[in-house]
Amino acid sequence: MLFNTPLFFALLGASLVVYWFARNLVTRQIALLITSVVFYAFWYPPHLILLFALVFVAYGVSRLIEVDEGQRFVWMGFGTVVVLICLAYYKYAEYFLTLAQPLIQASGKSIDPSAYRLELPLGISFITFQIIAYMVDVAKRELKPERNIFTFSLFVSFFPQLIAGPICRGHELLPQLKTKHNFIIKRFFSGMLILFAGLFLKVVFADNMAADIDRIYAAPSEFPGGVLLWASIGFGFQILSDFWGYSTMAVGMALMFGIVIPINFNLPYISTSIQSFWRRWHITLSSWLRDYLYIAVGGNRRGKLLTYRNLILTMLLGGLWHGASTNFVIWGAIHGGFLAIERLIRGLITTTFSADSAYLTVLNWAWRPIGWAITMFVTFTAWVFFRAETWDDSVSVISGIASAPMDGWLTVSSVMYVLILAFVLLMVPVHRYIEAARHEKLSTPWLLLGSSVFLFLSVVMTSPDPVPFIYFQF
Amino acid sequence: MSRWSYILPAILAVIFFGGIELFARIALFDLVSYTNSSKLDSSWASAKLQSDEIEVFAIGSSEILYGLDPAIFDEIGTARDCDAKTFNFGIEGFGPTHFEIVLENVRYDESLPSAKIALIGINMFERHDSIPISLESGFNCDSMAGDLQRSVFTSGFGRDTGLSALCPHTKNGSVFGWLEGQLSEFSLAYRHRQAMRSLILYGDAHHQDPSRKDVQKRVRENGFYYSAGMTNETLAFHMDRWKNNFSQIAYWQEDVQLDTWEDYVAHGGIFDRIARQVEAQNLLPVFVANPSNPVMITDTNRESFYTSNAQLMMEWTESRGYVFLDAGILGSFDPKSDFEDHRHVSGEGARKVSRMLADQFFENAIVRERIGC
Repeated sequence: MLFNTPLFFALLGASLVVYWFARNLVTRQIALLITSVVFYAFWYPPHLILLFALVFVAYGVSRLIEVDEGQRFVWMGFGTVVVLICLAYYKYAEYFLTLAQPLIQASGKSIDPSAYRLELPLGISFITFQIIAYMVDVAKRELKPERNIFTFSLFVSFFPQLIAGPICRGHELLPQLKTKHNFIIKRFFSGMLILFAGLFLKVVFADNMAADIDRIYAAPSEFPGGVLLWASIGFGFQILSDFWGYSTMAVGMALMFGIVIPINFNLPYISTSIQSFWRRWHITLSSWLRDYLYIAVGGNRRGKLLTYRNLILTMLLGGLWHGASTNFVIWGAIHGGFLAIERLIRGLITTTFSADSAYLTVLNWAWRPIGWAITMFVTFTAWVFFRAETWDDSVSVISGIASAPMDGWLTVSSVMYVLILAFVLLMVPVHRYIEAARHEKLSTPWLLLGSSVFLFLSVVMTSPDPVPFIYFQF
Repeated sequence: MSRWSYILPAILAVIFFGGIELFARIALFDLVSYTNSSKLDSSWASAKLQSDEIEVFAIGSSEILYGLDPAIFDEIGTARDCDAKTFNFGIEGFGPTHFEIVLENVRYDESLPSAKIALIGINMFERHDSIPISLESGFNCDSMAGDLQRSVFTSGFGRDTGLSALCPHTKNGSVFGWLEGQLSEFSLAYRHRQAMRSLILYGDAHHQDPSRKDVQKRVRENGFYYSAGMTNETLAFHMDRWKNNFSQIAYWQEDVQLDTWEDYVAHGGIFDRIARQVEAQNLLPVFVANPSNPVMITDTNRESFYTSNAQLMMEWTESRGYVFLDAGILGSFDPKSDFEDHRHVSGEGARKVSRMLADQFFENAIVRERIGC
């Protein structure tokens, strides 16, 4: 059940009616939990068992941490390992067996890695991260464990953010799930506007770009460099509009229930550095990686070299989190490597110039366009590895672009140019409109106007075939 | 909140939605193809200009489009003191099911106020598996060939004629389907949203198609599609292609049961239903055997099938008070100059076959009475 299908809107509508007409909190929680279960079961019902098994593990571990305080980090470690084994089993078994094939064969045994290719439970990567963050926060005494398993189940399975985030922390979501919110019409319509703005980003930009990009990336060696260049630029905009659209819809839906969840995107393509990019792109994942991985492996506390290593390691694992593929690891390595280089350069500059130096001010000002160009070059190059199915395909794309970047521009579909131009022009105004709605700064008539315009444009521009969200595969 | 915080958004909403609706009603199809087909665009535009004059019109497949020349009908009608302006609405890929859909949705009696007779093109040597007992199953529009492929089904024309309903994926029996139906009636901007999308994303790509001008030249003002016939090379090419298709499509190699056609002419069968729909629009249904290349009929061993079906059609039309026109198997025609390919007649062939059909047409007392001559 995709967010951009009528069936989902029917489920959402029914859930909203029951939720807001319910007299007590428990009924509301039941409405939300049933909606979440139905939503998840629609994809593949047996995976509900896994979802609730993870819920029980995390709940049990958090209770054990509470009663056995002295061993709280042991319990947290145990819970984390169990959850990660589950993730690894479903997501990486085939990949690691393929990598280990030479060793297995050397030992005289034979295993077919494809036999370990499993139906990936939807959203398992996001669910895993949310649960780990919860257990760590409880162990670090930053969060009180939730005693009500019903509320905790809802925290893990809350449907707007269940499949692909935003990854919510316990302190952000749990208190709101335990509050009986008053129906505020302005907040409801703000949520509706944000929901339709997300739908607009998804169906107008991402879906209409998808067909051409998929066709070109399915056989990149058959296309000239200029076509590959525009398909790769297009993918950078497709993935942003797709994931920004999804995350925005999640934020809007949650707000319609009176619940505030964090945003995931803040105009990442205006970033003037890779560090800034990661503060604007998939914000809840990058902050998760920072808080629960980068800091856990030492962060910047153990000298410069180890800081660089930690940055690269964090991004490598971040890449691997996206999927069992060498290309994702390379994507992570590119980002990690450039984060380390930026940090090195920044360190050199701060030791050369004093903080109040006029040179530093001029340098900062002059650096912006250059930094933006470098950041976009790195980001869009890295997207090639992210999008290509195989290493060979990514090499075909990169070498095709490098050898003849101007070849075949005229054969590129006008759709690509129209949509990229429109996205660049509309990106900032749409973001500002969404932010104004999120902070409830717009009056109801403006919210209704915006909602109806976004909905109308989504309906008119929708592709005849619905396209799944890219991040649902992770 | 000030009064303006209500008035300004309301004004903007009226400008935005009203402007788009106005554009859809006035200018949309001047900028984007109405049918997504050059042939259909041309014939529909011509028909619009002559809508008050057309008295006889033909609907059917490409065999009608290529094979029935209205100029010959007009000429013979005049020669026999029975003037009647004829128009060809043949569409490539048009099958019997389309008749039911088009006749249900297109009010010819309103759009062609002078129309008196509908010529219905029927293929006499096919089993007509394409006639489903129920329309519920629909077509696999994504893999359809000819002009009636998906792009035409989803065009403005497809929506207006109801042809889009033949694609199962456009059917929605839920409350959303109902809502969509209501909105489509209310707003042309919504009804033709796919055309709006095409315009925004692809501009006037259809109008810039270089083959469009050639097609437009060949579509006559009376809807007839003129083709020049085959040379030695194209004859060889088309025959090779036909043999290749023939060997790959099991349907052509199957033996057909001679009694198959009996279901179609039975009480309440497909032809009864088509005839009733035509009569409901105050038109006389005249059934016409599609002019086809005999290569198709001989290679598939269906001469006796054709003859038997023609006999059944003749008996059925007589029993119902309708008319059936049959030029027979065109065995004496020239294999090159009289045919466009392995299936269709050429412009030259169309002239010959149209003469044969028009003679029968204007001799018929029921026809003459309906036209008033």
